[in-house]
Amino acid sequence: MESKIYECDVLIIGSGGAGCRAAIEVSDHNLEPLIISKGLSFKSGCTGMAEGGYNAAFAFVDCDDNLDIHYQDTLQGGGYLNNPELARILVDESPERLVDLENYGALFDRQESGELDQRPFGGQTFRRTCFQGDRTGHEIITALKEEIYRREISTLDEIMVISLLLDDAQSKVQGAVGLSLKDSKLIIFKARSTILATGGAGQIYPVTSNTMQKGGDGFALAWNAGADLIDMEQVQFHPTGMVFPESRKGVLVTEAVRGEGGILLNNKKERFMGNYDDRMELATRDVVARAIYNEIREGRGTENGGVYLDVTQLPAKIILEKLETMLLQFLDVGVDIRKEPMEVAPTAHHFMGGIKIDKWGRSTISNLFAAGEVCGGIHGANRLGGNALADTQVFGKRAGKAAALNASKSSLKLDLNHVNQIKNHLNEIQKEGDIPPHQIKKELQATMWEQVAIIRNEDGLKNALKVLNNLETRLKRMNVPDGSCYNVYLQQALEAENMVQIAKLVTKSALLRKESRGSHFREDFPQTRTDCKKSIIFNKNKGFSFTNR
Amino acid sequence: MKLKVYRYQDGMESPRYDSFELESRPGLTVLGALFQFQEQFDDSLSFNYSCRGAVCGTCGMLINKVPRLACRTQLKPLLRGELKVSLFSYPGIMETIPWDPAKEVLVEPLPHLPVIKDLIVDMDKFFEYYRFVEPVFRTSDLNPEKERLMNPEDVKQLEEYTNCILCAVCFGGCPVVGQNPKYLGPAALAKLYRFHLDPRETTDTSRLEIADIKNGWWACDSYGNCRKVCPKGVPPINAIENAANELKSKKK
Repeated sequence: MESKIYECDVLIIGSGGAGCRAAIEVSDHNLEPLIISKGLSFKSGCTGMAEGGYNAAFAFVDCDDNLDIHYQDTLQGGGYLNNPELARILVDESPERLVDLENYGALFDRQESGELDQRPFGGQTFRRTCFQGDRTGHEIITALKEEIYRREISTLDEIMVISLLLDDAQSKVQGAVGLSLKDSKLIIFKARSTILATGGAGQIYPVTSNTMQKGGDGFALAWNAGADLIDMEQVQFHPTGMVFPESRKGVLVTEAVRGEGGILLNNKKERFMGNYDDRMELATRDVVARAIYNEIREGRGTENGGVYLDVTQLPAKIILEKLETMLLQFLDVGVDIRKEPMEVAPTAHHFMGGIKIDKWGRSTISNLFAAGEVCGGIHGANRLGGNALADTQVFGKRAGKAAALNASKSSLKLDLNHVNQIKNHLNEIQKEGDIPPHQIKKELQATMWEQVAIIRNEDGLKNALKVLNNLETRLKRMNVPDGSCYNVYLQQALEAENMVQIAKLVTKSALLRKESRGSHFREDFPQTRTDCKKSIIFNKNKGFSFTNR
Repeated sequence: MKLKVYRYQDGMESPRYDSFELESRPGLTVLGALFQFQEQFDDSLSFNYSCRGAVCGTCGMLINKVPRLACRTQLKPLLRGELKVSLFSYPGIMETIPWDPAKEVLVEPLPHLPVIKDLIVDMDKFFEYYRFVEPVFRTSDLNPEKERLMNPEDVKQLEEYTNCILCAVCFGGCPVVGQNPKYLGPAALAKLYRFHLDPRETTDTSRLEIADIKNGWWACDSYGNCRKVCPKGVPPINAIENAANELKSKKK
């Protein structure tokens, strides 16, 4: 297996919102970033799929809004599991980062006065979500990409990073090793700082709003390098994903639908949210997702296993202007949302947990930084809609700055033994076997959906762990034939390895949290317990520990 | 129902077509069918995909001789003869193999871009032209501390073009691109027009002049396929005609 070598100041893994914002910051410090992506550059992240908006307490629509209230909403929405320092930074810096985006050319909807428009979103005291129709993420990633072109920042795509590189002492990250998916060649990236901006792991569930690339690669890379991961049990299920057809199951139906006045109905056409929360459809996502799940479980769901989301009472003009993507998305499958309700059900959406970072995006390993969904701690136990896009920009910039400063100080010392170990692992994986890698993925997804999803209990979690351990031993039997051009088997096998590892962490963490908080609901421990107000930290070398919140 | 898929990899003298009998599921999209093909028939099939929701612009292909997104296109309506798009004909969409549209859905790579393997094309040329138009926001008022004021009507007008997801479906659907490989193509020109329209930039025609060249605005023959195939409702032909008119009236 031949290998190419690249060297750069700051290696950024992932070309979504956080990775791009970090790259811009690195270039502002006159250093050279290099962005690499598993899919096509700028197309395989989840930022571009985000629809509803970006929270920034400008108070343009509701003049009583301010940063403190945004902070309070974020903590309350997060079940007070947030790292308060990170949450504070998020709300404080979010407005400035939106202005940055406008300076890159992004377009946001305006009010008649010319000021930015802001819409209501779940769990928020005031209307504070800035947006561009229901294509906010598309607009943001487009502007970031164009800014990256302006600065002539290098990008490489279709490279799956399979390991971070460590020094002799196994304590400092020195870059990464990637597999070029086009030709199955290894690429070595030597970098003084490395930023993980790989997003979450929605694909460990069979129903997810995430892009197909999101199998938790970044979590696994950090884990294997010995970084701390935090609150991995906290997985947000977005209340409204498409249920029909099969091919589009899980695809997001934006919260903006409810923000603009959409209501949820069960099969008896009852508006059921009132039975669960006074905030009705605009309660936080954890609450709405569980309510929908419960309606379906108690037999009040639709034939396709969802509930109705209805906007037929809204003026057609609002639907066309503010929910155009939704209108087209449902027209594609033969549903005119101006005339009939949508069918929706919860879909795996966002990992609140992830790499433990400090306020500068530093992980617990030297030279390794992280930004965006791959980080944990900012959103606590449940993320407010509209806070993720803000997170990518605020912490993308911070990680970029810290990585740049670090790069000017650190030196490179590659451990060739480590490179050889990685090569050996790749060689071992490519052999005849009796299990296709996609089968491992399917079994894993089914187990996670049944036992580690919206409602959890000890028996189910223990059983899931057993299944996952068994899958782990079966990884060795995967069938991975040779093939140099787009070896789908090899990519899937590497992804399956990561997914098993991350699914196990989610399950173990869920077993440890013997309470219900935010998105994590244990039917055997339905209450939130003050003595459990602590984050759960996992480390490959040190086991688990807790930190008080 | 059957899926008939174009297969090619380096070393083959000419492409072949594989036929695969599909399990019929309601609402099955071409992308869903390709996954089924991969899992049940031949998992070495290569194709690009990412979001499944017509947002990322990764899965542009030639489906029943019309460039489209695989994730948006359902099989059943195709077989029923619906979803027809009447395009101005060009070599890239002419029939090359026998195929029964009542029983089979034909899936091939996008025209006008070199095939790397199976349904994956090399998008480099498409992005080279996109970058040629300098798709970078330029404003007179650089880095203001606060956000700008904007007229909501202006935002709406711009939206028509900011919707572009750079999927290259229009590039594959444009007869001129097939005849003249140096033509910048509909997507790049629509993108350039988007910056010209942006009220936050200068109001003169300096932006338009970037493509005031033989292979820019003037190469378009107004076939209009671009507008018909765009999965996001962007009308590149309108942008091109408006730009050409503005430049002409300025030169008068």
